[in-house]
Formats: sequence, structure tokens, C-alpha cells
Amino acid sequence: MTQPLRAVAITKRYRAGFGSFVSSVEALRGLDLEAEQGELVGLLGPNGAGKSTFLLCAAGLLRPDGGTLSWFGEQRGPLGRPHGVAYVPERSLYHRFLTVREALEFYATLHELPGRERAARVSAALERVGMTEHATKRVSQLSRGMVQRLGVAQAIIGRPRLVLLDETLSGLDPLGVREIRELLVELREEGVTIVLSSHDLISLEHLATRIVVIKDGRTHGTLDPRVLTGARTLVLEVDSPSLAARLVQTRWPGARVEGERLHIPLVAGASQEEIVAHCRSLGVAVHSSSVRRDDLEQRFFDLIERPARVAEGCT
Amino acid sequence: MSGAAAAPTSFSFARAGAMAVVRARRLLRTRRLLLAAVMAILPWLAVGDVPLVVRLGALTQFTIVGLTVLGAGAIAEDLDGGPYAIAFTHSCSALEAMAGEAATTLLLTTGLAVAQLPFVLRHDTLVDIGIILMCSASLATLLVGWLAVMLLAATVARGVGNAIAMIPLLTVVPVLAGTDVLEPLPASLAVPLRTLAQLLPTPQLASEVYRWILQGGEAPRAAIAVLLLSPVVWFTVAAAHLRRLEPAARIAA
Repeated sequence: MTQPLRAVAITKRYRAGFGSFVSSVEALRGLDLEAEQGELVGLLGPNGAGKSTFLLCAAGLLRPDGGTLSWFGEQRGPLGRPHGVAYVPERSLYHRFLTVREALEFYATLHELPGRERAARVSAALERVGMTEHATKRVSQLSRGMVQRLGVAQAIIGRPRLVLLDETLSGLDPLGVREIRELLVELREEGVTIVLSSHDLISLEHLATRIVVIKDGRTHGTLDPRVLTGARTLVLEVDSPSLAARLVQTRWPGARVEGERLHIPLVAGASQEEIVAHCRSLGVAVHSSSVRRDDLEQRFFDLIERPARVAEGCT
Repeated sequence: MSGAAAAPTSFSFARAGAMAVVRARRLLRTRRLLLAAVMAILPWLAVGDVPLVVRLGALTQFTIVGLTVLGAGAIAEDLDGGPYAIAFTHSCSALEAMAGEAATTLLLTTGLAVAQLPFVLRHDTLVDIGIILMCSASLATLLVGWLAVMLLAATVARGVGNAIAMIPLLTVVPVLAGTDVLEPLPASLAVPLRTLAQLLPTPQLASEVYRWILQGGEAPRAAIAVLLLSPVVWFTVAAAHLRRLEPAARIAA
């Protein structure tokens, strides 16, 4: 089976102005990404990392300056349109004067669907994103959350094989987040490949099969949400961490030194205060203590703070 | 959700039609159609009992102003606001988008021209139908050519401002096309500028053709050639430029 999306060393620079007044911003500096069929790849990274630019390139809406992009094993020319690829923008890019139903009918018409099927698809899309009751509202009257739902509805109307979503979960109320998450899981189960850019770490942890961390326009590393244990670890800043580790290992064998800090797994029956008190009773000078959880947030911060070369291939 | 649609390879009238309908909805919603009608019909109140050739000239001027109002922002609004990019992800091509928007603008402009006919013909009890058809054909080629230039401008410059700039261009182009104005400039600059101005379809060219049709004399070959070629040449250039354009370039920048 060919990969729905394969991006190799993608570069993109935005230019503005004329002649000697041209200014440019390098948005992508060699980004690599692959998405397999039925996978939900999360894109995570700081603001300005290049996530949205990459999604626009992957949707065929921006032309990369360098690198290769292929969809379902096919490379398109610089002006080629990828087919079977849907895109959900971060903000409303729809005709504001149309009602929700009219907008969806418009997109269905672009797919040259016959009248009856068009109506059925529109109704089904409205139902799936929970917008049936809002079908007669104008796009200009929609809240941000509703616009995101409309975005998903227009994306699925053409029955795509690859869906690219840019910050679609932002602006949704908790119920909306849950509904869209459920819809994305359904799509994935139907074999649709999804690439989702989001800052919603909890959603990504639950949804994504793989998370690609982007920083400074490059792939900075990859995280596998399936290996996250949720285990809590007490991190102590102490003098002589190696010596301290040996001292406490008699009671907490999992104690280890990481990055000049003493890490002690918080197992049942041991509290933060008890461990700190025990360390002090052994003569270990504890300067600070904090509890960290092995979750996506922690892994992300660990990864993003590392230099790119170290982070590459990290799972 | 397997079975994605096969890659569309040919021009789709359904997609172009959908674009046309949405453009018509926008023009109605923004009351621009009303504005165009007022701007095309109201000036007739000031036109007195003048020869038919003058009234045809007025029809041309008023209609092209109406067309400029209607065509302002065609494609540009969708390029800047993002609907073009989303339509692109739904298999709509640059040519289909442009053809759809152009069709609506021309259809409504034709309506404006027809609405003016009672004013044009009010003092003539009998007009040769052949003459009317020839004049109408000249007007039609002028309108399509001018719209094509507007569409090209919309793909080059951001916002509806480019289309609004077309209104003063209506006045400036005939001046530049003359021999005197560019005389002080170096030939390397004056010649290309004058040639470009002469290749743009203007109401003055249509008026030359009306005069020939109604009053006879030597055929204005250059005017006829420009009027006939403009729709094809400028629309092709505009469509090719839109096709080269990144659909999200204006929204992402």
C-alpha cells in the first residue's frame, strides 16, 4: 500500500515586496514527514514552527521551494492538485454570505455529485459534525467552534483518503472537542489518514498514533503516545546526585540520575514529603523537588528543549 | 471512506456553474448589482437628443462602468479571503473558478446593457437590426476583453483595490495610447507603454467601430483586431497566471 503522504526535506520561504525591498521568512527548512494509511499523525510544535505552512503545502495550496511531496505514491508537478486530500483551515475561509447548508452544497457540487447524492452527503456531513440544527445559519454568524465543525464537514463531503486539519480542535467547547475527536477516530477506523496540527496535548495523546514535533521549520523528533505510562516521578535537585542515588536505592531501587538531577519513581505508599524527609535524614541536601508525570506534555518539553540532532529519532 | 473521486482532468461546467452561482449570490448580497444598475442607468437622465452613434458611445461607457462595479473583486475576493483555496481542495481548477465568476459578471452586465436599450433607441423609430447586432457584437467583445483585463489585474494585485483602479485606467489608457503624451519619455520606455495601452480594449475602440458601422468610411482595422483578440488573449493570460499562482499564497502571507 502506498503512503498517503510522504514529505522529504520540504523547504518553504515566504517572500514579500519588490526588488531590493524583498523581505523573506524561512518557514520550512527541510521538514520530513510520512503518514501511513489509517494513521493519525499529530503535529506539535511552538507557534511559528511551520506546522500550518506544512499543511498548506501538503494540501497542494502552497508550492514548496525544495524537497519532494508525494500523495498516495504519486508526485504532482509544482502546480498539481493532490486528489482525495481534504484540508481544514485554522480560520474561516468559506463564503461568509452562504448558509452552512448552502456552503456544503457548494462544495458537494464541486465534486459533481448528482442532486440526490449531494443532498444525502450534505445531510450526513451536518449530522456527523453535529450541525444539523445550525444548517440555516449564515457562515458569518458562526462561532469559532462552529466554523471548525463546518471545516470538518466540508472536508469529509468529498470522501477523502487523507485529511489535513490545522488547529481544528481549538475554539471548540469541551463537548465539541469530544465530538470531533470521536469523528476523527471513526474516520481513522474507516481507513482515512489524518494529519492533525494541535496544541491540545490531551487530545493528541488520546488520538494520535504518532506525534511529529516540529521546531524551526524542521522535524525535531517523534513521539509515540502509546509508550506514555502516566507514571509519576519525583525530581530532586541535590548535591552529588550520584552519591544520593546510591544512598536512596536501598529503599527505592528505581532511583536514577538524569541530567544532574535525582529521579525517584513515585510508587504506591511513598509520598513526595516522605521521600524528601528520608533523603535529608541520610544527609542529602535537597534544594528543590518537583513531581513530573510521564505524559505527552513532559515528553514534549523534554524533546523541544533538546538540540535537533539529539532529538532526531527519539521515540 | 475509500474510493476517493477520480482525478478530474477536464473542464467541468458543473464546477464553473457552482462558482458562477456563488458569485451571483455575493453580488446580490453586497448590493453591488444594485449599485451597478444605478451607475449604468442614472446617467441616461442627462443624455439629450443626440445622434445614435453618440448614444451608442454612452451605452458603452455606462455599461463598462457597470461591468467594472460588478467585476470588482472577481477572483480577488476569493483569493484573498480563502474560498478559492478551499474550492481548489474540492477539485475546482483555476480555469473553472475564473470562468464561473466571469460568466456571472458578463451575464449581469448584459442585463445592464439590455436595460439601457430603451434609452439608446428612444429617438429612432426604425433602426436596422443588422446595425444593432454589429454594434452589440462590438460591445460584447469590448466587455469580455475589459473583464479579462480586470481578472488579470485581480490575479496580480491583492484586494478589490486592483479592480477599483480599473476605473481611472479607463481614462488613462486612451491617453497613453495616443502619440503625444509619452513623447518626452525615452523610446525604450514609451514604445512598450504605448503598445500595451493600444492592446487594451477601451470604449474608444468600440466607438470607432460604431462610427464605421453607422457612418461608413474606412474600417478601423486596428480597433477591430484589438476588440476581437482581447477577450481571448487577456483571458488566457489571466487564467494562466491564476493557474501558476499558489492558491494559499495570499491568505498565508
